[in-house]
Amino acid sequence: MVEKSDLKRLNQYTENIKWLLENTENLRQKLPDRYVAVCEAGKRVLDAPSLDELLGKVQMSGGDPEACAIDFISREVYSLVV
Amino acid sequence: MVRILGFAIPGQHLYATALFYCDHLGISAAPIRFLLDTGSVRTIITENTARRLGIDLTKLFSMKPDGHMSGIGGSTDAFRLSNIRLVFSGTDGSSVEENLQFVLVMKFPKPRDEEERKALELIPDLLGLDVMKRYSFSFEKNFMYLDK
Repeated sequence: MVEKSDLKRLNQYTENIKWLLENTENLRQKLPDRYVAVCEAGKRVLDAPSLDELLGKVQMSGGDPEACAIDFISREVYSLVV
Repeated sequence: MVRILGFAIPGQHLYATALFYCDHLGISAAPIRFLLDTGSVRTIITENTARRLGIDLTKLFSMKPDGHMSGIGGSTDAFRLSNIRLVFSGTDGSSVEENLQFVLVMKFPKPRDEEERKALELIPDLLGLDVMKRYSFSFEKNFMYLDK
């Protein structure tokens, strides 16, 4: 059983992920080698030098922390091979 | 028919998002972004994602590994998380549920230097063939449709 509020959270998370993917190059300029959390479709962007620190910041920031998209933004561009 | 949408920005990998459930660990409706990877037999989450989900990594990694995984660049230990449910959002707004006997948690190997540490941080969670083979898929520009 999936609650409507859970699907809403998933849709918010997806919007945050899309914003993150579309703005990765801007973030690389502004926040190189930082962990970044994107919330509310880019209206709130948090950053920290470590994942644990960022998770703490996100928890403290209010809203629905699980809906935020979190990624490491490297200074260099890496091509991912999977 | 149900349809799940995979998306990408031009020139990049395709992703899909899902809610992650693991009832016996108390994990409920945690959103995850997966890279769609037909090159992976199993669905894999990284230790960073496991940490975000609140999984006790010290306890998990103290157990005997359930296997090893290898790729370009090396190999590492893998640990099972059993009885997982993934819930996707269908393109019609419905929920699409997939049950998995287990997913694998990838333990990052100890990096040799700062560059390798950064490269490890960029490894995404992978939606593998254990889920994808349940669907037929097609591509259209920056989208991938998973249908069944």
